[in-house]
Amino acid sequence: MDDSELDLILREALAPPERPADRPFVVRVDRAVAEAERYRRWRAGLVRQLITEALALAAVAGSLVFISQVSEVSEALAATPGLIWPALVALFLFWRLVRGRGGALA
Amino acid sequence: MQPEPDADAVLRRRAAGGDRDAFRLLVETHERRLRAFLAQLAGPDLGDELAQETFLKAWQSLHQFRGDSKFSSWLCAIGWRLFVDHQRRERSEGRRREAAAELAETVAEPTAGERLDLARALARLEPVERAALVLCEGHGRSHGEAAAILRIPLGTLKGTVRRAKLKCREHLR
Repeated sequence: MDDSELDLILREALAPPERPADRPFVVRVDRAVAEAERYRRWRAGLVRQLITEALALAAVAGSLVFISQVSEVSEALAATPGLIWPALVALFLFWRLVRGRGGALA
Repeated sequence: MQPEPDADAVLRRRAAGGDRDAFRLLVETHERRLRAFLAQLAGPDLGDELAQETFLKAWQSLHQFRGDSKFSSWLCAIGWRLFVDHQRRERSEGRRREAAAELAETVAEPTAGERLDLARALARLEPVERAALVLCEGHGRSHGEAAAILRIPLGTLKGTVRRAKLKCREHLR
């Protein structure tokens, strides 16, 4: 078998088939793309939400630290050390309430 | 490498902007050759899976494609990388032998004894040899294009094609 003969056999055996586009395959790819897009949007939304909540928590924590440094407040806290926990729990419940309402609206 | 044809470039730009209809047209245009290439490497079933994954990856990285090669070459390069990654995961010798046996049955319709022999010869080649042969002989790609798709130097590609042909000839003798 010479080179040209082998080349011919290889070309015939390895050439892509002549046929029209495979519609079911195209639809399958389209569905996979749509699914990937939905997932990408969901993930982007989740990241946005996490960042927003982290910023909100940082802001609340910063505010609490700032308030606790006001002399009247720090004196009141020193006088009644049991007050700090109910206040933090109340704040946490308020945050949960706001978050729950935001989630329900979304 | 040759730049992509204009029709592909227009559709690709639209798809990169999020136009899924444009991407669907690109899939319609290129699925036949991509699936044929991957089926020769991995068999028809896994080849189809890899082709679907290739298109998905292409959709997600359209913005990275600069258009300095044909869109079809870019797709083949993604498909080849996915195939190599898959092979790396499936190192088990038994599974490879099974895949080779499946490939020998499906690479070419055994209409003649010679064709069946060729399918067996192809199944015995290293994946990179088979890929080089399919791209250069079956799909009419230039050596430069095939080297870029397989990410190997041009000289290595030429040697790989020569070696693959030699092995096929020896088997067919």
